Amino acid sequence: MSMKELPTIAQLWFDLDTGAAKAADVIALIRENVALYEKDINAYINLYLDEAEELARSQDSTRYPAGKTPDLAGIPIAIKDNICVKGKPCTCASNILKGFVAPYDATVIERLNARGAILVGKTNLDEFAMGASTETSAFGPVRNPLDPERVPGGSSGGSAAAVRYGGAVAALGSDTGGSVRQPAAFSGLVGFRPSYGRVSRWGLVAFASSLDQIGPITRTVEDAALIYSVIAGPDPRDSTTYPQEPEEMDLTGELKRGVKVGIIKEFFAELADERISEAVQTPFKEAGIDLIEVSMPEVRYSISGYYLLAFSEVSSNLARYDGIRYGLRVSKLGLRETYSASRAQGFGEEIKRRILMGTFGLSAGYIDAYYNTALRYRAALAKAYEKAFSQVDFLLSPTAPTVAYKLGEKIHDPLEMYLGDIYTASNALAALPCISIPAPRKVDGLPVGIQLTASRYQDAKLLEFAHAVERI
Amino acid sequence: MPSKESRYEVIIGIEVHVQLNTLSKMFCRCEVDVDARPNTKVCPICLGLPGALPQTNDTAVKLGIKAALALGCKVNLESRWARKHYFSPDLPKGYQITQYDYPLATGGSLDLPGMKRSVRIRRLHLEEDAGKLIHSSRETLVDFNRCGVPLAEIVSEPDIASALQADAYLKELRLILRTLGVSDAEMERGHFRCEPNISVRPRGQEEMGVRSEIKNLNSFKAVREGVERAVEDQIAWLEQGKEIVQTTYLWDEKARELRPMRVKETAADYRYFPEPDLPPLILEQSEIDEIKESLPELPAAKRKRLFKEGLSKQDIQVLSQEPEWEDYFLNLLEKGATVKEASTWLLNEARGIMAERREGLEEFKVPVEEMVNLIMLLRSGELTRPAAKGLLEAMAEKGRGAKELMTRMDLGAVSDSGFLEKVARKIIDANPEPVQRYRNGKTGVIGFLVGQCMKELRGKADPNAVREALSTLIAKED
Repeated sequence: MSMKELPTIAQLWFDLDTGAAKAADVIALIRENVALYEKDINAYINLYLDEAEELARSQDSTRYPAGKTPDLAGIPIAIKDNICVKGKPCTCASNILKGFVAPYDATVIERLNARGAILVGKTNLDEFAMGASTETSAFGPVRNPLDPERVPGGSSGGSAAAVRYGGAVAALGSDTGGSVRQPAAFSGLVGFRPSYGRVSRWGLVAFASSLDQIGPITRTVEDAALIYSVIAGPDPRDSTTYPQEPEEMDLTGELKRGVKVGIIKEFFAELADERISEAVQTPFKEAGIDLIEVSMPEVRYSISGYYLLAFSEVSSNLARYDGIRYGLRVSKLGLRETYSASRAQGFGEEIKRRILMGTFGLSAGYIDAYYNTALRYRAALAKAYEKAFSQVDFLLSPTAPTVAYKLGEKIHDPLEMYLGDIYTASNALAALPCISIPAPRKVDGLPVGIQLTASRYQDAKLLEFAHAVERI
Repeated sequence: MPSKESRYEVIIGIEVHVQLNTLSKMFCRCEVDVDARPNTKVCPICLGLPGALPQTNDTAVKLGIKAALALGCKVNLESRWARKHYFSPDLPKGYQITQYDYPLATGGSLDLPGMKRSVRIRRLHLEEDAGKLIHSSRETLVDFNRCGVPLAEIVSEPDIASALQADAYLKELRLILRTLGVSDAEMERGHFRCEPNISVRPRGQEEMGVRSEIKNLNSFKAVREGVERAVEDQIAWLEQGKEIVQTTYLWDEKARELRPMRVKETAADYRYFPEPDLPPLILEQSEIDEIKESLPELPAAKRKRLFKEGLSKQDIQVLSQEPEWEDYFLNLLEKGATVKEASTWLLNEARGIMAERREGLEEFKVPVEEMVNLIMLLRSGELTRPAAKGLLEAMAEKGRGAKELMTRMDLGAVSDSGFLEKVARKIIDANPEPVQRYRNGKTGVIGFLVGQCMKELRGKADPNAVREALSTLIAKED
């Protein structure tokens, strides 16, 4: 037996619309792939194949006038398990949410449902999306379908692995400092992080609120754009959403003449692996696009700035998991003791490390040195990006400094793990839209991600350009 | 030697948490109904469920602006939300959304009525309330109905120098908030929670004393007693040369005692930081101006006006202490009574009747409309003053209308001059001696004759008309 190749959203939509395919048949293919790979890969925390099949059959029996099939009717999608789906457990891959069932739908789920998408299952992740290898999950690590010895990246490793092995046609992940883009890069997929505020965070369990953004992991840029156009847009339930509807896109696949692509000097200067640099730059050179060097010394501090802010917000956002109202409660005689025992048992090592560091960074006497300094840095970084975008249309970099590494290789060295976010933290800090697409050339037989970044709210322009680059 | 008290200076600042009068909560659309069955007015937002996000209640912001403007504060065009962290079972997110270094409004003041003292307002900011813990002997339960209810915190500068001033400050503040409709401000129901902080220092000393903070003050009486107690304690400690430790106390109303709740050493570090789920609160100047235009007449201005219109200082005092009375009073004016009439019939006569009947205004059976009817009957001469008194007593007793009772009790004034003359004749004939004295120039004696006539008429005539009839008759016979 071997993997059953699934169609892309675009193909499947066309085939379902014309009646050439049935949604239920696609679910059957997914079932076969799941049976074949899921046990080893561990992409899903919960699978809902029976419900999916039922929904697919009802979609199949619904007759839409030609061309009127809803955007995602019959499209099987996997959802990262930190996004709430009504009536389903939402674990965040943490013991502390044991038994918690979400009583409401995230806005992205409402929007996917409204367009007919089918939920296949909830995917595995690093606990509360904190990690870059999907090894911190309380439900065990996820393996990379391309090489089960290796990690799928993270924290949306389950979403990437599910799409990679044919467990779903597409998936949603969440990206705080690279968690959609890096697993997409490690899996040879497309991972898109929209501008902060483009997609509602209502129903996304918070990691670092000022950075979290939901994004699609797909096999093509076109599919990413399709999902984006469904889930993006203002939402009164998330006060940080951008008030304008997303722009129409024109996915012609044509490279516009005169497009200016920049590379950040400091990024490439520090890159150890020359082969990754080449894999990322070559397609542009071959397409006759000059790469303009831009200096942005600010990016050197992006890891420190990112983690200071993220940890501070973590310490606040995870304060609610106290064993009182939902999730794990380890009952002890006193209130304080119950808090301590519940949190001690409920949270994993990485979470505890981040809560401790974040609490420290916000404490009286330290907040100026840490949190407030990081805030000022963030503002300076955003300015530096703005300046860069006055010279170029897009910025190019690798998505990650390495290809997928082996399980256990970095998990015991948190700093080493954090450094893997070198290319994905700074644009997230600056709230910019960014996308990872597979480079045509691999390194050590493993995929390399090309990352493109655009200025804020230029999501449509970025997707159009990425779509063209994908075709080089 | 000056008294102990006069050798020390008392410095008091007060924080007040005011429950804003909105239909829904501060950051979600749950109904505000604290008394509903526990945990029935809750949703993912106020329960702090994973993935839920706050949405600001614009009405609460407007009420906050109203209060700020009435207190003469500067409303900031940009204010910000912050998170204040502490662990408590009634705080489901592990933090409270409040405002910290960028409050809604800053720098106002409030004049204490009749005291020639002004208390500066440091700031007014908005925040959400916590839930309620219900303790029993075996367990503690949490009710989240109150969780997320909008509050305004109003912080004064330490400009208050006595328990009496603290009382006046709080009463005036409460009256303003009620006049604005910003809050019901019912202390017993926790709509208006006062937390005074008190310090004492020897007069002339530059350095401030150590503060005592008092919570759980649920009535004005509790405020006065609690503050007085804290002042006494501090003076006693200073006299004894004891070191005072910054302490938060709970007022035990039954024992009339201050119970230490926590000392400064264990005070929490709240780790305030900007709330990332809410953008800064940006206001337009035009929006603020519009609210300013719509403010009702404030108590201080109203008092000034009523004084100008002839109301006595004492009456004004009564009204400013008791909003229900003031409400009734202003309603009388609105429906046509003069300040004098309203003062006489409400604050004098009706108040007397209520005192006799041991009733409060709530139990008083005479609605504003009927009181106005009575005043109008009196004004038109259909009713005499003494008869009106009797009528009001009957109305208070029976809860019936003025006209109905007047007719039924036959209290209508006798205005028939023939009948009046007849009665006057009878009294003149029956009292030859006083009449003779009147004729001899002792005109004061007419009062006696009028009284006799009124007795005969059972008070149902205008005494002036009776006097007129008497003097005319006696003059005729000269």
